[in-house]
Formats: sequence, C-alpha cells, structure tokens
Amino acid sequence: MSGFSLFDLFREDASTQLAVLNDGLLSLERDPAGTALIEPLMRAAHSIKGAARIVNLAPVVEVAHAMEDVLVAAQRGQEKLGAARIDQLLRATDLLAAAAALDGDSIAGWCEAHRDAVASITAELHAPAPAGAAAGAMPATAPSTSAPRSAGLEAPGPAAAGAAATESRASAAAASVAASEEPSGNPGSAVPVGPVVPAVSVDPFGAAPVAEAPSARMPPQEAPAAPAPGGFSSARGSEAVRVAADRLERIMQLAGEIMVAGRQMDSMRQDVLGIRRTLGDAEDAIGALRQATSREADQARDALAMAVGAAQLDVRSHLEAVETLTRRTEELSASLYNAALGSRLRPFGDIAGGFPRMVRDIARQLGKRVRLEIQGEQVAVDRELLARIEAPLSHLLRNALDHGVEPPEAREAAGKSPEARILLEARHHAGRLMIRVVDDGRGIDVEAVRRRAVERGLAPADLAAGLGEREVLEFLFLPAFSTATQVSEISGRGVGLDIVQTMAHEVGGSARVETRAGEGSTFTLVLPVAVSVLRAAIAEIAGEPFAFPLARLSRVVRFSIEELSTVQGREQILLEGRSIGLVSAAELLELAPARDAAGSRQDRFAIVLEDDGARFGLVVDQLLGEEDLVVRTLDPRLGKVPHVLAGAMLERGDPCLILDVEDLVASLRQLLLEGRRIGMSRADAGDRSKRRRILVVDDSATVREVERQLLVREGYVVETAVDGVDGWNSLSVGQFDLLVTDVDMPRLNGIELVRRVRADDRLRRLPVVIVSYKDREEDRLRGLEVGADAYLTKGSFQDETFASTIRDLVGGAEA
Amino acid sequence: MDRSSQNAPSPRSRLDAPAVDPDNAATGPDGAEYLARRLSADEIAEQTRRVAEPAGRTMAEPVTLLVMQLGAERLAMPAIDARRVVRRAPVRRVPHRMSPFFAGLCAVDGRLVPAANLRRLLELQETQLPAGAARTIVFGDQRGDWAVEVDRVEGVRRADLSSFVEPPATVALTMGRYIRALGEFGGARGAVLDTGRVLSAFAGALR
Repeated sequence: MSGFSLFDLFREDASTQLAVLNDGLLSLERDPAGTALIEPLMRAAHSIKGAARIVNLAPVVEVAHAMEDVLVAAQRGQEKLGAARIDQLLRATDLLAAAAALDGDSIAGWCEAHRDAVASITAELHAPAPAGAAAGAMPATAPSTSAPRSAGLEAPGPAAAGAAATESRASAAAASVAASEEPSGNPGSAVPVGPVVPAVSVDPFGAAPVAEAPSARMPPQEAPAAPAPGGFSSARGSEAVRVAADRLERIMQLAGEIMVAGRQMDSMRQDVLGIRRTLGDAEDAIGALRQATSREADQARDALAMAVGAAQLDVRSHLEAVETLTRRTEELSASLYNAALGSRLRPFGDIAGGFPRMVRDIARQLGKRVRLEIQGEQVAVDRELLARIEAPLSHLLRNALDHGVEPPEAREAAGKSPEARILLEARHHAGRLMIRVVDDGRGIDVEAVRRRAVERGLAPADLAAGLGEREVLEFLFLPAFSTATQVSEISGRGVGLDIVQTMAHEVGGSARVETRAGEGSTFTLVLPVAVSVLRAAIAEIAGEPFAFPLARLSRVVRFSIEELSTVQGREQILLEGRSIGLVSAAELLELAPARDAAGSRQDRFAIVLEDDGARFGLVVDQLLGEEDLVVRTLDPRLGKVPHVLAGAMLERGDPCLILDVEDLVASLRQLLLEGRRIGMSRADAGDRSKRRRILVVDDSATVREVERQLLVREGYVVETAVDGVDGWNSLSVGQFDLLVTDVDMPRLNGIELVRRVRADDRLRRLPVVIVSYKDREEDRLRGLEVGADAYLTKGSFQDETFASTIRDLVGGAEA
Repeated sequence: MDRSSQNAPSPRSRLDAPAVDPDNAATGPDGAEYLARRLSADEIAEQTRRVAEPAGRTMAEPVTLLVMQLGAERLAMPAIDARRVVRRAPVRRVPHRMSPFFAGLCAVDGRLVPAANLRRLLELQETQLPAGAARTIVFGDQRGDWAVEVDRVEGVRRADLSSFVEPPATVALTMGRYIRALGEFGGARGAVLDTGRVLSAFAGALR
C-alpha cells in the first residue's frame, strides 16, 4: 500500500460509499416507507465524513455531516424523505462524487471554487424538509432549482403540464429553504414536517403529482437488505485491494508457468513407472532362471532377486510420493491459477450500479416515466472488459431513453402502460457474455434508416432497396449515423452506436439490434466472458497449433477422403444432409505446409463455422484437444494480424495463436463472393492474377462492404482492412494496384496511412483514393496534400463517381 | 553446516537470478554465473555510464560479452543487451506476417516474444552441431525484445575492445553490416555483433 497516498485511500473509500448512497437513495425514492434502507445510507455518509476528515477536506465533511443529520432525522421518524429531499441528498452526493474524483493537487482549488455550492447544499439540508414531496427538476436543465430562491410558495400547476408542475415543485422547495434561515445542525432537533402541502406520491419520472395512493400510507414493510456494493459476496469478502495491473498480469503468467511445470511432473511419474516395469521384467527373468540352474547360482540369483525386490519397494515408495506430489502440485497450481484468474473478474453490478441514477435523471429531464430493471448484477466479468463496456452501455441506455421510449401520453394513447420498461440484462450464454438492452418503446423505423442511408450516400438506392432488415439496421452502427431529426443533449448526434460496435469487435464480440414497430428494440452484445481467458479447441494447421474459441465453433467433424465430393470445383462433405463447403485453413492463413504435414492421411478434420445460416468447413491437419487459454495481447510491433485474435500459451508451454473466427468467416464470405477457391487450380490462379487488386481500408464494416461490393461489381479483386494499421500491414505483405482509404480510423488514420505510403519506396506510386465523410474544402486539400490521387465523399457511392474515379486511376478490372 | 555449503550458491539464489533460467542456463560456467548474479551498485553505475556515453567511445573499454556459435561463426554480443538464455524454445509461425527474417513467436518465461532468424540475417549456413546444444537468446533495447536461436552458447567473456579491428570490406558488405568489431575473446577469435543494427533489421522485418 505504500504506493498509495491518503488521498487515494479517501477516493477508494468514498467511491464505494457513494455507490451505496446513490443506490440507497434511489431505492428510498421508489419505496419511501422503507426505513430499513436508511441505516446503510447513514453509515455511508458517516464513513465519507470520517475519511474526509482524515485528509482534511472540510467541505466534504460539512456536506456529509449535513446528509447524515437528515438521514438520522428520517430514521427517527422526525422527517419524511420526500422526493424533493431525496433530490437534495442526490445533489449532495453528486457534490461529494465530484470531490472524490479529484486528485490531491486540484482539491484545494476545487474547494475554493465550490465554496458557495457547498454552503448552498448544506443550508438546504439543514433547513426543514422541503414542503411538498414531489421532486424538483434536475439542476442540469433547470438552473432555477440550484440557485437560492426567495419566491413564495406557488400554487401547483396544472396536472397535465409536467414541466410547469416540476417548476412549481421546485419553487415550493425553494420556499421552504428560504423560510428556514437557521440550520438546526442538530439531528435531535425537530425538523418541522408541517402539512403545508397535501401529501403527494413520489413520481420519480417527473410526471405531474398525483394524490398519494392509500397503499403508500400502509405501514412500512420489511425492506430488503441493502445490496452489498458490487454484490459479489459479503461486503467483507469483496473488500478491494489495489494491485497494479501489470503485477496482476505477471502473477497470471507465473501461475500459468507453474501449471505447465506441474504437468511436467506427470511425465516424471511416467518415467518412474517405466523403471518399475523394467524391474518387474528383471524379477520375472530371475524367476525363470531359478528353475533351471545350480545351487550356487541359486544363491547369487536369490541375492539379485532381493536387491531387485528392494529396488522395487524403493521405486514403489517413490512412485507413491511422486504421485501424491504430482496430484498436490496440480491441485495447488490449478487453484493458484484459478485464483489469479478470478482476481481479474468483477461482478457486472460494478458498472450497472450507476445506471439507475442516470436513467432516472435523464427520464425526468425528458419528461418520461421509465423503470430500469437490471438483471445479472452478480455475473462475473473480466475487469478489463467491464471497463470497456461501461460507456457503450451508457450510450445504449441513453439511446433507449431518448429515441426508444415514448412520452407517457403517447404510450397511453398506444395502449401501453405510461411507465416504460428498460431491461439491462447480463448473463452467460454458451460460454459467452450476453448483454441485452431491451426497451418496450416505439421501435426503430427500418424504412427511415434505409432512406437515411441513401440520403447520406452510404449505399446506392438500388443496393439499399435490396438489403434485408438486419443489414439495414447495421447502418445504425456507422459513425455519425442518426435518424434523429433533432440533436439533444442525450443523443441524436449519431455518436454512440458506432462506439458500441467498435468495442464489441475489438474484444472479439459482436453487436446487433432487433426491433418490432410499436413494441420496442433489443440491442444485444455478445462478448467473451473474459478478455483474459477462453476455452478453445486446439487444431494443427500447417504443422502449427492454433486455437479456435469454442464459443464460436459450430462443431468439429472427422471425415475420410472418400467422403469428399466436388461441386463446381469446390470440395464439400455432407453433414446431417447438408452440404458443407470446405476450405483449407493453411491456405486461408497463407501458411506453407510443414514438411511432415499429414497430406496423405486418410482421416481429415474440419472446424465447422456458422454465420447467418451459412456453414463453412475449415480443414485442419489434426485436432490436438481442448484447453483453457490465458489470452495474451500480441506484441504491438506485429500490428493487427489478419485472422488472429490474440496469443496464448498451451499447457505444454508452447506458444499458440487464437484465431479470430469473425475475421475468418468474413474472409471466407469474401472469397466465395469473389468466386475464389482456396486451393484453386493454376488456371483459376491465372485468371485471378489478371484482375487488378484493390485494398479498401475503412473501420466501418458497412462502408467497407458497400465499397467492396461496388468494386467487385466492377470486376476488381478486393481485399479489406479494418483500420490504418491493418491497411499498412496488408500493403506491406500484399500486391495492390490501388488503395481506397477512409480518414478517421483508430490506431492509424487515413492521412497518416497515405503519408506512409508516399514515403515508402515500394508503394510511393500506388494510386490512392480517400473516401471520407468529411466534405470541407480544407479536408479535401489536406488529403490531396499528403499525396492522395483523389478525395471523394461517401456520397459518391450514390452515383458513378466512385467507380469512375477508380477506373480513371487504374483502368478497368482486367490488368 | 560446513564451510563449502556456506560458500556454494544456494538453489534459492539461483532461482532468483534475473536473466538465466537455472535449468536452461547458458552452457559454460561463466555464462550461467555471470547472467545469474545480482548486480552490485558499482556494476549498475558502470553499465549506466556505458549506456549514457557517446557512441564510439565504448570500443576502447573492456566489455563483457555473451559468446555464442552460429553455423561456423563465433559471435558475441554485449552481455548487457541479453535478457535471457534458455534451451531452444519452439518458434510458431504467424499467419500473414512471415518474412525472411521474422520467424514467428516463441514463449520465454511466460511471455510471447517475437522471434527472428539471425542465421538468415547474417547469411550463415545451417549447422551440423547437435540440436541439444541449441539455445534461445532473448535480447533487445527500448524498442522491444527479440528471441533468436543460436547453435550453442559458450558463455560470458571479458574482452578489451581496444585491440579489436573493424571488419574487412569483404565482410562489411554482407554480414559485416551487423558486425561491430573483430577480435579475440575467451582465447579465440570472433565477431562482436552490432545489436542496435541487428534489432533495427528485425524491426524492419515487421514493417
């Protein structure tokens, strides 16, 4: 712990307690009668106060103390926590969270800058509970609620006018603040809860106040215990200890090494077993000799037999010891390995915990009523993955709130409950982590998406018309694609969904959306459970071991050469009455067969991959088994290796590459679309070599596919790359007649890619076409200045511009 | 406890050694002992001074070399550049990335390290030495580590580079580009590799 300052410890502590406060206050808002929920909140406020006092953070102490006072009063029944009061407490929590997010150097400045805000919120909390339990508007959109007010109590606005009602509630709250200039400062002093305003029920979603239902006056039921932070196990058991990520990684590596070493003991045991067998044979030989020889020889043989017998006993005893040790070592190393592995896992609730507050706030801001259900908070997720999915999930929820869910009146008019439901669900499914964001809103207008794609020039009208619903919805994941007519603070800029898909692809997963008009939409992310470990089938390809993530395999089949048949020159086998086209994995990976590769083996193996109903058989040399692999990032100097997801080490200690099944399938599809065959005849190769080759580099799968289809239609041979680095790698090893590249891409943008191309002796004459969303003149000039031969916008797909530019630069498809 | 056992390096101290796997240590007592030792403050200061001083002047200083055999050549590299010496680690090819000098990936010490073909870079012949003597050396600089396979590791030798000469023009045009000097170390003649240039050539193989 020596590496952590006291302020670091304060932040750690505060972050845990703030989560308790946020969750607990939201629970209280839903269940105002749940007094049992108050106790953990008091403890949390008290803990923050104590921790802040240690680091001398007086403003935080002050706010936390004021919160504690309110909570104590509420627990003693001296105050009822209405929505307005909870609003104040949440605002105070936000203030504490802002302080806890600072570093030690900036805290002094922050305290100075927020002196008024601290005084204001402390005064609000010390004042009697705001009259009128209905909640005020969020300060972000209604600044009037955050500034001190002196207006008198206004009459509530019309019930139907949510915003007006909200404002009146805020005014009521302000009036209460103004009415009480003397903060009690003493939790024991009574805070008057006068019946100034008739009791109203809490509507957390900003709708008009409704007279309190009788049920809300029912005696408090036994409230469920407040969830432990993170909820992995007991609060004590899940206590956090900070460990540097690289150290944890090293522990993982060493744990893996120990497991490998432990397994080598088994081979030692087998050796001892062999010696024992040899000794047994010697005993047998002595026995046979004894029956046929003289007395003296008998004595010698007896002595020999005794020696062998003693050796046998020794070996047996050693063998037992080795066996015991082997078992113990294997158990221990497996435990160590699993413990090290487990240390990387965290409950999904770690990130989901912040979403209810976000949903509540945004829903109120939008005047919508929304119930967020979270399922699977205990689901274990790799901490690295967890960190990466938080922002994309936040985008999906914002999207559902802004575009998916209708206002209450529209829902009622459509025969739905005025309160919408958003479900955030995490679960393990078929060895993968499946996360769904489901809303019961209006659904996505597929035709509007199709029209927008054409308007934006992302696909020619005839191509767009032929796309299926699933393909059309893929456009939603493009950068800057939005069907929203207005940009709001919540969403509508088209930023977000591309982040979702990019993240999913980067971790080896996928994202998809399904929708039903009027019934809602479901966004599904299918991700690896852990970025760090996966179960894989190990197959030998061209003499090298490669791993296929089991979750992505359909099945593995063994077949004999006799079962092969040929259709249109392509090899296939029949499996359960369906034809499976076969492709050589070695050729797809461009690996020359090893010298001793089993080309003449009778039995072959095919890894069957399934995608969108299509099945492919990837022929491998042999199957080596199944293993749990610790995923290791490949050395960044290698760049993005096509068809490879990551590296790993096999149990026996050998390196092994984990193949990227999505990438393999994409390549297979492309090869089939181009009419190519892996293992094609010389005549085929000759035909192909006569066609010009174009490399398309774009980080958007849809744009890549549109460009590829347009070029294939023209007869070109097209290869694709997913970003600048991938493109550069492809250019380094392949031969191309033209490069088409996007500008904005992760890792290496298109401008830098072109710059590299122009600086490379081999590539400097390669024609380059930039295709970008950026259509300003300065963008175009920038592209041309670095050496692009043409700069097109993505609207060029709509007409002949794209294809004609390519033809102008390199001529037709025939070389 | 007798005196000899007190003086002998304990198994624990060997396991703690930073650079050599005790079971796979470089052959030759000097190599294992040298790479396995803990650096004193003086040695660290000396090595820091060497790294920091301007290029060219180190030729005049005595240096410690890791000596190896590759084909018919006796080669050496500054020991300071070597990270690990282990028994020959299998190298696995990487799809779409193979080039004459890039051999693939090998696992050393739980890490996946890019492996390069030093023999091919230096245009040396295949060896007739027994395969059991082959070793994998991991060496590198701030740009990253590389693993290379050599036929044998002789050990660690001290040498005074002031008596060394630059390679002749006939050599300089071929493998000489990667040779810093020729001279005698450990009782026999050999060539000292210019590890900076070798590493640059390997890095180029990935571009």
